[in-house]
Amino acid sequence: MSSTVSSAPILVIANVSKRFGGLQALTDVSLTIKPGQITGVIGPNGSGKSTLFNTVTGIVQTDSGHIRFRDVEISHAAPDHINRLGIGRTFQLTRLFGQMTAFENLVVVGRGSRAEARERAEQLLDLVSLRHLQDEYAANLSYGQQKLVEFIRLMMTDPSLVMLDEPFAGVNPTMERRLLEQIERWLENGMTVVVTDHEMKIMMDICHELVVLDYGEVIAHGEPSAVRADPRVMEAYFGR
Amino acid sequence: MSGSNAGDVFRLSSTPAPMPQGGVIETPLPERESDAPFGTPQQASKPLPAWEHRLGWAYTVVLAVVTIGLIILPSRANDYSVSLTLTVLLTICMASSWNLISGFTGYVSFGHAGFFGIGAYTGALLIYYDVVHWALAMLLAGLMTTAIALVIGYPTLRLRGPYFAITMLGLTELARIIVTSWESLTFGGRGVYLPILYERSEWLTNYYAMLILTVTVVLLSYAVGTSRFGLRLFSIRDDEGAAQAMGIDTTRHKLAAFALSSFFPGVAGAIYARHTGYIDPLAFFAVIWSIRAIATSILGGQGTILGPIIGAVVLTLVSEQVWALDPNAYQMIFGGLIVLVVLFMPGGLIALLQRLAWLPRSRRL
Repeated sequence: MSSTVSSAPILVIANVSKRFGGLQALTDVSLTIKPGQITGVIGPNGSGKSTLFNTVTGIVQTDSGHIRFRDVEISHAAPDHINRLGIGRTFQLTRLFGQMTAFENLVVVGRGSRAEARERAEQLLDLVSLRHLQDEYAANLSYGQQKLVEFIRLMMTDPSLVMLDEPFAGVNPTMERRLLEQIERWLENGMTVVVTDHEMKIMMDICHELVVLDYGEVIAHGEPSAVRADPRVMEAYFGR
Repeated sequence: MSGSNAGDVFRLSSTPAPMPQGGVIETPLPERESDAPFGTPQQASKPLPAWEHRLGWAYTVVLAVVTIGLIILPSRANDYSVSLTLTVLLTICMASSWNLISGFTGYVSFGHAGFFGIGAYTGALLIYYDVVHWALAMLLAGLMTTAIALVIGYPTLRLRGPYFAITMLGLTELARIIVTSWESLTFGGRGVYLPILYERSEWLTNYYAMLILTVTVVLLSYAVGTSRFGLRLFSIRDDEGAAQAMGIDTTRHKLAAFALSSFFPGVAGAIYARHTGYIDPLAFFAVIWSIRAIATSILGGQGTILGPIIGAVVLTLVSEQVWALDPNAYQMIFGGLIVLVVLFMPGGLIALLQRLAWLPRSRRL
């Protein structure tokens, strides 16, 4: 896979911790995300993957530590501000606006004028061959179609970093390929992708780097081949 | 677990494998899967009729005809009919303005009674103390309620959940207590008597003021409901967290909708105070003003443009008939009607007509 790697990280997470009551969800997590690459975040259930995504995108505020996106501190910024800085995300379960049509789901988040947003929405629906469903309520779309619309809704906000929370969960192979195509387009356009998923085969295949979380701590970070050989990763997945 | 099992899970190549190449895969998508995450059943998709895009023009024509009809109504109708029409217009103002915040964003406001009372007292006192011309007093009443809405809305609309609804419920009671206690200004529980409007032409100025206010709120509802600002309000109603994650400043949008929403009950309260000629805290801060606005919107269809208008016409006329039949049973029948609507027509009359395919699904309705 082609990528445009530069040395300066696009996202820096430094010593981030987060506790929910008695549960320490993240403990002193530090990692950097390189631009133009796919970085995978894996780990067993409850390892802190979603919490990490939520802290980066402002949905959850950190207890301590710093998160910098393109050298801008975002650890206590609001989600909408973080999105406008250039970080987009999808959710583990798709969160389209169910009472709005597929087309409206795109136009509502579009940047620029309304006419520009409408034109962009039409182009994106054409891109994923869903134009014929543009006037369908999002709630009426199949789960896979909702995933696709959520993917292209991201594009309406012109992000430079996209964070995908379990994009391949529950989708059929056809839809899986279409989502992968979309990710490839993003990379070709110089975007950075952070993805978490339990589909290990896909994660190993598409990611340039993997971060492994376990009990809220980073236990491994590196190329997939190195991570795979790391005994701590084996232990995290199979040894307990 | 053995290492071989681990190898099955972590099957990988040393470098990332190429992604599938080529354009969009032509394989047709499954039409519908059973695991869609949204639980609410939706009506089937139908192509919008060609005339849907002409609804804007249809509105313009209908609104113009109805407005002209309402302008000439007083010259053809008796005082009772004019007064009843004024009540319908008042109900439209209250319901349509409530709909701007609660129907569009899903944040239920119980504060319309408070704004109505505050507007009534602001307008009445400005007239009573002869501070400004009555028309300017109406406008100032609306600006007063808007300012109060901004002050209250800024902290409460930053939070999600029931805080807003509870605060707005408290606003009405707080305002009533302040007005009742501040006797030196408001005459407390004795109320305020305004100059009696003996001449019919004088009395009709209230009717025309209410008509102007109603046309304004209807036009505003259409403008908001069909705009991207309106779509963003709908996105807050559907999933505020997702809206925020997609870059929508939800607090700013809610606050703007709330400010717009609060202006109209303020002016309507001032007009109605001048119309009745006497106001007191119990009558003008009665929670029934909020409940009527909510019930009217629910009956017609909250979150729609036409719903509150249809609801206001139906509810006011039905209320009038029920009152005429049995004033004692009025509130019971009124309450029962609301319960029936909520149970059997949760989307209101507009949704019912859409389910029957008599109306298309359209943001313009």
